Amino acid sequence: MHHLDEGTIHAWLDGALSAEESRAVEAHVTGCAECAALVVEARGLVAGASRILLGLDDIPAGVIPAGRATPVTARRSRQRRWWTGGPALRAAAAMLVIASAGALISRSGVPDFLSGEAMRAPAADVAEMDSADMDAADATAPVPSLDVSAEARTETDIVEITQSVEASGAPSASSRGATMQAPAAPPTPSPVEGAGTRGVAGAGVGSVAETEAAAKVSGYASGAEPALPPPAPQRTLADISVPFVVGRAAIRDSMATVRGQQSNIAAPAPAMGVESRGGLRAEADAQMERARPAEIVIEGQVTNAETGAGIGGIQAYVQSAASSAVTDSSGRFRLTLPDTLRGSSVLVSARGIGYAARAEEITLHGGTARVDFALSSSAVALQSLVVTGTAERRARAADVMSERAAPAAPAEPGRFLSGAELEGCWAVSLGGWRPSRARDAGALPTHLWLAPTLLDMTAEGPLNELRRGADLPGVPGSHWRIGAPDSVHLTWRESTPAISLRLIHRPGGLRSTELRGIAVQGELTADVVLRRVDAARCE
Amino acid sequence: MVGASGNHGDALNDVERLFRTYNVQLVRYLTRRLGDRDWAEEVAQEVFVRALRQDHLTNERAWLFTVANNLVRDEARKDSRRRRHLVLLREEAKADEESRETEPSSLERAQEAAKARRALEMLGERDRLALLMREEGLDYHEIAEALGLSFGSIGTTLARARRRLVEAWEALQRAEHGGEHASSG
Repeated sequence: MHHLDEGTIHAWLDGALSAEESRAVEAHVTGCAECAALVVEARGLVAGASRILLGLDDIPAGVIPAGRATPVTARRSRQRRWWTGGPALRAAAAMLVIASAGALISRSGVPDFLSGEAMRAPAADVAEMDSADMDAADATAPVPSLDVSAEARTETDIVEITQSVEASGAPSASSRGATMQAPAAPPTPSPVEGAGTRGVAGAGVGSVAETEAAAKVSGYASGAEPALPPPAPQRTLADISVPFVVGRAAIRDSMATVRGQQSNIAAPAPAMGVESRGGLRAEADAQMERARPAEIVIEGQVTNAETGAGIGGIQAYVQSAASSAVTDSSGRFRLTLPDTLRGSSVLVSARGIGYAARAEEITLHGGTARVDFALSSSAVALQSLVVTGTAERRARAADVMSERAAPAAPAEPGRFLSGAELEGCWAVSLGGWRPSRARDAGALPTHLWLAPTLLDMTAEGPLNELRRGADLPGVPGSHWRIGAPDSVHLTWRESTPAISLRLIHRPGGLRSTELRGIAVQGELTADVVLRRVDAARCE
Repeated sequence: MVGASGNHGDALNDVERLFRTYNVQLVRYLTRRLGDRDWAEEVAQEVFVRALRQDHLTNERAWLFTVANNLVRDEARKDSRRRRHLVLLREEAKADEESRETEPSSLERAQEAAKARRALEMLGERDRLALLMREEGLDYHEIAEALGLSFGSIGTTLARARRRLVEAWEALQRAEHGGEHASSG
């Protein structure tokens, strides 16, 4: 077979080739390092392009200048800025009022897809891709298990790693939520519509108190967006093909952290803004409430199945309606769905780092529905390697590797992995990240070999010292440190192609018998996947 | 599909279904393409209105996107440059504004959006549309149908579109950072 051309590779990654063609491509890629490199690059371009386009979804509909009467506080801050954009802009924008006004006429009753969370959907998409949501890995997502190098071929197990709370940044996310009212508002929907045809996006409001709660939820949604399991985009649903579920370890990258902090600053100011605007807001909300079309609310609480305590930071969502929310510290959530869904059944799901996801189907009768979830924790779960892709779908890069992996003989799923079980060599791949260079998204997976003995250390050092893979390039500027008793933090620069560690269990060498997660800091957002590999690979 | 002719009720139901199924995709596609959500919604709405008049749609998603493309093209003839320019101006103004208000979070986003838009504008029309439609989940057949291309050419088209987009974006980013290394440890 001739070398693959770029178009064919993209078609392959997009799942557009026939089964036969896919097999041919697959076979070729396996034996041709040159083309394998092209595949990696193509994946980077696919993911990078998606990510870039995502930036476009933040555009507010603010071409129309806000009228003075626009009764929406959260929106106002942005619009005022727009207003002050200069006379030329204002004049130009005014031209568009007429053009856009037509769109408003029949807007009431439009499904609330522009609500804060719904508009976040594309962003959540990114989270999906960036964090390489393995259960819906789509062709454009950096597929973590693609491994055209030799190391991964002897894998036998796949281990789920979930991420510690600390790593996910949940605490800071919640503290952020409270002060994020303004940024939490959706990217400025049409101001005119605010005048009465539709409710304020993002705020499922019935009272001021509820407004605050809703805003908090939205705050999560925008502030912690890399960590959000997305209302899955159609394509990812269609292309489900990845063989295993992986614990999500969507880690806020440094960018997100910064953004979050800045959001705090930018929020209508704990110090001065909120108080003075309180009345206005209440009034605006009341108006919005009167004006908004009926909608269906799903409320509920997520609790820990073992302790009964509410769990915060859990994502609750209705995928089909692109509605999602994050539970507050008491585990409560509130989802709003368009009334057009009345009478239909929807699947309400709850998932979060460290817990096994659950879903429940309910029929919407209008008004408020209640769904509670009791989640069991699943720190490090072993799962057998099951290829669920159809024959056609196996074309996908992820499956190339899966096919080669030896049949697994894992422990039962959901069990903690501990002590001696950790002994040996592990390949760790990071399922996705948010690199500054868009195309780097395709450079995954990054492999690590982990030794639980690390958990007995309290130290920091250059990552190089822990490297064992002889063929791996240096990773200057990278660091590891042992974080909370049960997590290893690795920090490295975006250009790091791969990291390997060899970790050997020594009896008594573990401080904690649970490896709960791996926190990756730096400019990364990633799912973490552990696979046991042949010990020889570690040497 | 839109139902049999003469039965207006069915047609309405079908369009309602079409709307529910595709409106989000369509609006996002158009928003990305046009840079203005109001405009995007307006066009999307017109698309569904036209669907209402159709007796039968064989490939509904491709049809919807095709009509959207045509509508945009028609309208774009009138004032595309002004609009695009306006969008850029607005994003820049917003970025400016917000930098003064020390809201780097929004600033960052506005810059990001402006950069993404610039990069996207650097693509050829066909490449751009193919990519945007692919991002909304259209498969190669649908994209081929909507753009009047051959199925076999879509892979190449998308490959080129993605590469150019990423390269353009990276070039903009380099220009922005003046060559400084992007990572920050």
